[in-house]
Amino acid sequence: MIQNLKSYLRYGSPFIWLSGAFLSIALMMIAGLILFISKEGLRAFWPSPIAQVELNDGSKVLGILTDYESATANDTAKYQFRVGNRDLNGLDFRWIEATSIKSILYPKDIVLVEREEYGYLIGRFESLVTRDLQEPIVNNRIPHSVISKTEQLRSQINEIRKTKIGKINQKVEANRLTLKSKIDETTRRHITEENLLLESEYRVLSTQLDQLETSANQASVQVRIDDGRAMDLKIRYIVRYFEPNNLNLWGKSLIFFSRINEFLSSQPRESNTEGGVFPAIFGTVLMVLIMSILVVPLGVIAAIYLKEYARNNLLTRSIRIAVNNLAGVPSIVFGVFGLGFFVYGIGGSIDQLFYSNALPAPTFGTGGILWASLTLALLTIPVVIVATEESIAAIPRSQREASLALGSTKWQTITHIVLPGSAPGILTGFILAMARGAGEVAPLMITGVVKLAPSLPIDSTWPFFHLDRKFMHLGFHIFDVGFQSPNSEAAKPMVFMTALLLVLIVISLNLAALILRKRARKNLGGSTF
Amino acid sequence: MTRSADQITRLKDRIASYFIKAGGILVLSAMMGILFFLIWVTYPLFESTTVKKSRQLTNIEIESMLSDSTGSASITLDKKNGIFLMDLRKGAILSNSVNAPKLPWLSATPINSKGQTLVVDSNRTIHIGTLKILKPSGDTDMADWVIDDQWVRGPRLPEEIQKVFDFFSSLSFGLIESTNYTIAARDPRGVRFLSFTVPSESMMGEPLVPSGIEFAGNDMVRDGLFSDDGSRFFIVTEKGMLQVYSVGEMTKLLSEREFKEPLRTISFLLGGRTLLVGGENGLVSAVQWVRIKDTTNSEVYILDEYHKYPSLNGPVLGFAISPRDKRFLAWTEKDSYIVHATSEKVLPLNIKIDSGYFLPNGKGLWIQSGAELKELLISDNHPEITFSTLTKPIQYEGYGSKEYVWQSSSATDDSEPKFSLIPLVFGTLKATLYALIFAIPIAVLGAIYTSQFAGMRWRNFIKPSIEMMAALPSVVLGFIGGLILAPYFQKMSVSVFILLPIFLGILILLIPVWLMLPAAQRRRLSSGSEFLWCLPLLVAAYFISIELAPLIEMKFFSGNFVQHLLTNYDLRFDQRNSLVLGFVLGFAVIPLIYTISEDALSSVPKSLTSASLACGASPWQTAWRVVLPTASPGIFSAIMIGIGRAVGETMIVLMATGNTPIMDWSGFNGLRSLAANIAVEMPEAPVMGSHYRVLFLSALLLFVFTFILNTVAEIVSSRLRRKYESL
Repeated sequence: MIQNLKSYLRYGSPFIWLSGAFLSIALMMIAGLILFISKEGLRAFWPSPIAQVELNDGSKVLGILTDYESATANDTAKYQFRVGNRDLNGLDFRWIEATSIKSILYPKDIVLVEREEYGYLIGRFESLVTRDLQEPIVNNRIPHSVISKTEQLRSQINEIRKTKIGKINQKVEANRLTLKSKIDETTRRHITEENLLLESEYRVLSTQLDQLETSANQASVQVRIDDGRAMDLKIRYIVRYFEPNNLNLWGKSLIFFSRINEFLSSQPRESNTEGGVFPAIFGTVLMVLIMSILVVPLGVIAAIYLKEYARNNLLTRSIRIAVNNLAGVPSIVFGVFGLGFFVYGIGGSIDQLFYSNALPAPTFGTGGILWASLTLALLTIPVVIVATEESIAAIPRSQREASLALGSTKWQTITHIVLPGSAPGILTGFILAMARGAGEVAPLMITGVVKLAPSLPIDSTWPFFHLDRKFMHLGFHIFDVGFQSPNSEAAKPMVFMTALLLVLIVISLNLAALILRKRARKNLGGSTF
Repeated sequence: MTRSADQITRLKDRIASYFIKAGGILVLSAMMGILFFLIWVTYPLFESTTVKKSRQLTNIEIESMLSDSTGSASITLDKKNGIFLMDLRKGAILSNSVNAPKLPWLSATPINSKGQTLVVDSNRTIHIGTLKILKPSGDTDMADWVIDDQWVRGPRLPEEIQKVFDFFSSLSFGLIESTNYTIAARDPRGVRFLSFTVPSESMMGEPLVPSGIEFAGNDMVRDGLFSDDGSRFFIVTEKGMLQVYSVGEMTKLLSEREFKEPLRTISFLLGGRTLLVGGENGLVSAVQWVRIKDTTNSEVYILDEYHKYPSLNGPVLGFAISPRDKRFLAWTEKDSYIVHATSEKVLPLNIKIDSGYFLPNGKGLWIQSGAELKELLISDNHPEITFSTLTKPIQYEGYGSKEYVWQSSSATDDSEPKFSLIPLVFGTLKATLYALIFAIPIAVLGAIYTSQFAGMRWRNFIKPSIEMMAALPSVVLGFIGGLILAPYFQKMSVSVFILLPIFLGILILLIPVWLMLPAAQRRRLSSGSEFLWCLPLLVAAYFISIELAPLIEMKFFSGNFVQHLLTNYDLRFDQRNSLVLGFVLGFAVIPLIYTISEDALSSVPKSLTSASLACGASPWQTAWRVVLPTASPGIFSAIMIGIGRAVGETMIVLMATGNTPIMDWSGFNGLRSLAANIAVEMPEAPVMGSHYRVLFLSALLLFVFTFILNTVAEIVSSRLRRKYESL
């Protein structure tokens, strides 16, 4: 045995195990992280049952079990419940000591109401107040006709408030700027008249709005919460109303997908901690697209220049090293450059030249989606250059020589032989650049990302593309909601969902690049790798 | 026909060639442009200062002036003309003050920055005036500008004080409340204080009772002034004493300090917390009244001479104080300079000066020299920044000793900006160190295993999945670190610390069990999938550590590890600390180091390993003695690139640490790194201001540092590649 151990040690097999052990730590870390994010992110969508906790003193608490802390030397075991009713209790969460709990039940008649404001309302259905109830109330559910009526009113209100009044405001603002500049008397009079017209139009709309609001406010539902108080809740402010303990798997899945749909397609609510991330998705995608439009042609041109046109001398070699190294320069440095050069430098000059009416309020002289995209383009251009160069280098010399021998020019060789052959490589670089751009936050923080953008960078008002606008971004959303929101515990599900989405986007882009690269290598017969 | 097609093809080729050359060079130079832009923004911090003469007015001799914010007119005071509004473009009197006391005056104090002055008329009556310039809106030619002055009348001075007026070098007044004044006057025996309220009840000669300071011996007061709130009085004497007295019900000596030469003049720097002292032999020093801990660890106030500036030639006659920053002008009969009090940056002025006044924007000054009033413009916009303020310990106002401090923003305008890059560089290096301690063993050992021992089918799976780790957005890692791991670590720190020892312990304990298995079985189980067997062991170790931790905490750390650290070792435990940061940042660095090391290790020529194995070495011996040394340059360059990533990582550091710029190696404390600091402060920094440029400087530092690291890595690994080719 001892002999055995000695030789075992001498041959070093334990060290193989040791290195394997460290590899397993690394694998465990990545698997753990991805599983954790997925679990927490998906859990937020899945409807959890609501517990009715009866305490020793007889009082009852309704809430979703969210956390458990086992007993330590100084503390007894505790359960954390999400009790909701933030407007009434002040807090979303409540810690309850295990010893003070008498029983935990899951009654079927508890309703969970997701509201536009103040988060969850948890309680029991009491009554429905509405003027024209056409169908009877079955199983404590709000009749469909009431909901669709309110929905209709709500969309009408939104139409007036966002679209119509928004347009008037934009016109008034444009007129204000024109009045500031030097114009002749007739135009001035004309604009003033138009302003008066707009004002009367606005008055008509706002009375219309008032009427709609009154009728929308009529339908409400009364819910009794755990401490016996009854809450009157206007149906127009309800996002979702259901009985989680009374749902079968199908019902739960419906809620699950409806929540995912809301998350992906609607606006954020409650200072970003609830609702959807649509503007952030939109901002991220648009920024990456603008970046790609810039980065791919420029990167490919630079790579072709380096590989096909530049002489292979010391200068070219050092440029190549420099390009490689730029990929390793911290992203925040690019952000600093973007702020100083694009935003204050170019943007400031554009404002001076074309938007001097609006000054001192900056138009392009402040962070915006264009500047952020340009900054990211600089950041990711080395990725494209390196990938393109690599794939150009992989084109067999024989093919190139054959083309030239047939009398084609250099340019013809490039367009017919080199570029088609290296297309998968270029695509790989492009996808990697997109992945890098989508996940990057630090440079965006100082070049134009905001926590809440009032309007998207593309909309229906002329000139449709508003590249000067600030935008929202998934990565910054994570930072902002997780670290800057006042109610960070209640915001956690939102952060997890956003993190999951971002990780999915970035990982699928990377996987695509990986598969593409593998295929490209196979096609070239692996001769050069 | 074919000819022209050929020509078009050739033309296309030529155009494309020019286009690509131009485009390629443009893109590449744009990328290099980043470096030049950073340097261009940073450079003015270190630019040498120039002084330019601007306007010059002749035949004018003033005693005090307060120029308006545009610098085109000033409220001016001299004893001959009283108070008047002067056109600074032409030197002409625009209008006289209408409400000012009747000339001639016995004495008048210089107009202070709030526009206040105290005048004693020939009747010995005190008048206190508040002056400002009234500009009718839209009027730019100054024709209608007038002085808006409001005067309150104080009491009459007693006659015996009037007798000593000739000895007043300056008549100070301390404003205690809006109506309570104390004035100080010098007499041969010391200083007299007179307190009164305005408007005075007794217009005619109600006796004022002077209190005062009297000197023993034959020392003489040369100059004195009140603190901003009027509660303390500072004097300098002929024998070189600087003394501070409390004024009020009782006058009491609080503290004193002796200088080696007779003192001549005294003045406050902007903010009223630092005193400037000028000596008879050219001494110029900054002194602060600061609280320190003495030898018995109790707190005492001392007069601390914390900056000493180069000596001037001859007795220091006066100081002029910048209204914008901590600069001041000091002059003698022959000599003068402008100094920034904190950075000690000296700008000599070779001009004879009788008195000087800074422009309200701080960008220049007016100098009375003989019968001429000259305007000097100073090019230096960043007097507070020098190489030493950025890199050396500096004693700041209110600090008892020299320290490295980064504190860019503060509550008040007149406080000192503190721009030492050292705490940030320190924080950056600390973050990197903790990340590397964690990442290197995992990444390098993992790479050795993958390249040398792992089975082929596993290798194709392991490498991409660890590379996937590199793709994880850092904001997600930062969020996990700051909001999930940091609270977890605070609660479960002991179990985290014992996890690795337990894991390795289990492995060692299993060796005998393993050896009892038949050799064939062993070979079958271990060939290239050892790491798989480790995974369940790691999970087991995790659960054991959680169960074991409370017991250990009870036995060795009196039940609470965090509390134990504080009471027994005086170690503060921040929730977002460097250990958590090291773990999360390690997460970002591991895949980089791993991939590059694995590439280097797996491309060691087969001939080498085969030779080693053929000579009878075991696989581990081959890996450790042959493969690792051969590939070590590759691992070195992998670590270099890992350092580069850790140094520049922004979001993880921002989110997983408390961002406090402290200098302490303790893993339980937070830190503030250069990159995170930029992200936090850049949006608030005023464009082209000192703060903005210093942030650009830190970006430049990051750029240069990572560029060097990456270049070294590139050179090393390209050498290695050549070596492999030759083998």
